Amino acid sequence: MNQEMFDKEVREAISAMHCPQTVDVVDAVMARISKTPSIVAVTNKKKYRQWRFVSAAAACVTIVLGVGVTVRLVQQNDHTVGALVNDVSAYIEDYTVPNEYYNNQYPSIDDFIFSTGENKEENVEAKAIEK
Amino acid sequence: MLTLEDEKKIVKAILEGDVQQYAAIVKAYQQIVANLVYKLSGDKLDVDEIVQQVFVELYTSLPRFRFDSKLSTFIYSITVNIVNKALARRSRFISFDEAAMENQPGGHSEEEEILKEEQARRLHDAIGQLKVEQRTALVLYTFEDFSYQDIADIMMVTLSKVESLIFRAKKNLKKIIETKTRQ
Repeated sequence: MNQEMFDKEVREAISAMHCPQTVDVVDAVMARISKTPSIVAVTNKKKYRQWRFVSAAAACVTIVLGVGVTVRLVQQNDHTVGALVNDVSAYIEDYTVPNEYYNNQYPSIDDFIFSTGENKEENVEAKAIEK
Repeated sequence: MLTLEDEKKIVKAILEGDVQQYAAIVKAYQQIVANLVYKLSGDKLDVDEIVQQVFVELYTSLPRFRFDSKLSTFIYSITVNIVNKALARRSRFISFDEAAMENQPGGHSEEEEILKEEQARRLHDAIGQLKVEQRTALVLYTFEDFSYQDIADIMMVTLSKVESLIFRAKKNLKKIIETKTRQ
């Protein structure tokens, strides 16, 4: 018997095989799947996991970008910040006491400490008027 | 028979919670799956029980089915896996109920009919003696005119493996029949 004829016979033999019984498993299957965990929950859980992953990834990207931009800005503006610090330092160092203090227009602490029994406030005022 | 669009609608509805729609899929495929189970396992397995297992497994696997292939391919893949696991627990040799064999078209004399029946019986016996993988590949090859690629997708093996399995299955079948004829 040549190969082609043999193949044909094999095909026919297998095609001729049919399950001797007619199966009807719909009710049995529906009863069994009612006892299995809900696949809706599985599908939602998967979606939730996917969203969690996407959110985490987006947060990481935002943080990295934010840090990168901040570092870049600081690097670019470094001389301005430094100059500002220097200016403030110089201003503080060069600050002079207003002339009013040297001209004794303002009461000194001695006026408060050495006054003798008299009304301290009146004394101070009187002395200020005298001057 | 369900069209691809019908299947997509039904699966979508099931995944959204309308579980009762699953009965339509079971009704459409139960007899086809039963036939495949019988061709793969002969009288060895309880066909009813295996078919139920197939559809329960299909239901739990629906969330990961993306319609990359046909739903029928997915169902057959599950069927092959379940049958092979069930057969692994038993002897690999299977037999077929003679009553399950369809009558061949008539138009032959009585002698020819008897001869044909005898040849068919020998073939069935020989098929039952093949290794599980070879028998699976050969059965799928004749089942619904699957291509080698379809068979590779169902069995989850490479195309070259399918070609090799079918070639060896046919070769071994011939050897078994010739040995029996000599006896």
